[in-house]
Amino acid sequence: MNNWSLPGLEVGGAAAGPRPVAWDGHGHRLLSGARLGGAVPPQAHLTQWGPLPGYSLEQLALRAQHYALLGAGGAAFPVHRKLRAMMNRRVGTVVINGAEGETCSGKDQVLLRHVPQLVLDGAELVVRATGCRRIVLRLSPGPGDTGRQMEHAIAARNATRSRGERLNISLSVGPDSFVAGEASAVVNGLFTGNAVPTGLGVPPRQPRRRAYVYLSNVETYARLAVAARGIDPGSALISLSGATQPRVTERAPTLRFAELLPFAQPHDIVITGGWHGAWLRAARLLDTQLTPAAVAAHGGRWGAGAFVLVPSEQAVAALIAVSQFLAQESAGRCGPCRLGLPQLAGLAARGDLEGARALAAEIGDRGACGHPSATSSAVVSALECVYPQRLQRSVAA
Amino acid sequence: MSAGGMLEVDWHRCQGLAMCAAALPGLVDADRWGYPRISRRGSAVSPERTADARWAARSCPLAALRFVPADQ
Repeated sequence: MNNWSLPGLEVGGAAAGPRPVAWDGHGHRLLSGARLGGAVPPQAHLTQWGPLPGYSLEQLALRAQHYALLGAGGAAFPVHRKLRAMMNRRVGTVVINGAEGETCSGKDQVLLRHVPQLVLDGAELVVRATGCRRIVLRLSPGPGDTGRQMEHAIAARNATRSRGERLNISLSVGPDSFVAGEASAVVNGLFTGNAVPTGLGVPPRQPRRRAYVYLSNVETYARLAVAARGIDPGSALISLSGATQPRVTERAPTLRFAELLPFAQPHDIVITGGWHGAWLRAARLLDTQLTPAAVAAHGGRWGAGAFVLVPSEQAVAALIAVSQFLAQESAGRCGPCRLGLPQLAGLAARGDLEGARALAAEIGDRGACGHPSATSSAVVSALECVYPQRLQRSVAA
Repeated sequence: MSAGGMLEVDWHRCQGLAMCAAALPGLVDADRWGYPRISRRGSAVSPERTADARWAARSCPLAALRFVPADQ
């Protein structure tokens, strides 16, 4: 495979590959009414999905709970719990997190560009249920002009409303870094201008103010908007990249990975769940259905639905590139992360599985955010996948 | 009677001086770089060790270690 690259990462001196931000036209649920090349206008959106119900916080939480809706930013936190945490609390800001720090994920950009009204519906449901008056859409400076398209979408939506029913929504563009999309980094970026992770109080609050912040991922709002209308929001929204056409696709969860990656060889590697995810040989994944549970049952991770195909002969180069990238993307604010991740990348480059395991245990789940521990498990998983003979040897010992 | 609590690290402040580990060996342990082995969510302290935990927290010259009593 000659046309091979990792999105956003340089491998073996080759240029970084493109992010998968193009939609392939398959829409199973969220994108079912969309067409290639533009956003669904407010009127067509309303015709397809019907009016937005006005729900109390508890009613909305019940809907989310009924469909077992989980956050789609990677952490899979139950949406009904996040909503109920706002009960009897003053919510100052509802944040739509569209800062996809993950360079191998493009699904949030695809949703914003094609079904912006569905995403705005989800945020409006939370605004109405909490009595909050302010929405902020946080974006990364990434490719394309998602920001300008969202300004048009918001203006078009508000043009159909009377003055009192318009959404008060502003756009904010954060830095282009991997950790800048992390929830606490977004909240800090919005309120202090410094988009570094500090960890969040649960639920998070605006610094120096008493009001709470309701933050969720773009896809999660879109699914909430579907669930609120009594429709099962389930579908597999997937970003594909690596040794395949970089793209976003939305399919039925009953489909199998073999249909998305028809040219994958059994010994190729699929990085599941993005750069923080788990590495698997394609043979283990190809017959698996497109659901988080099925992927987890095979030792993979769903995360934000990003999957990267790595040809088997490029596995070592990819391992080095990914572990170096994750070390470089440390914000450098917490010792175990700043000192541990470069050492871990060095061990990965030498193929030292035992050393990497020991160092991963030393780094532990420490620091202000999940980056160090998630990176440790990703690098160990990558080593186990790339060097299976060392895994067997250590089990035998 | 205290109900114990949690020792928490402010990871942006902590510089790995390991004063906490030196002050209270057995309660706080330092890693190879000098940073305390306390997880992101803190480390639980039993009621008997509450006074020790307060002492460990005070030992940090950067005020990066915090004891949060359970009854608050």
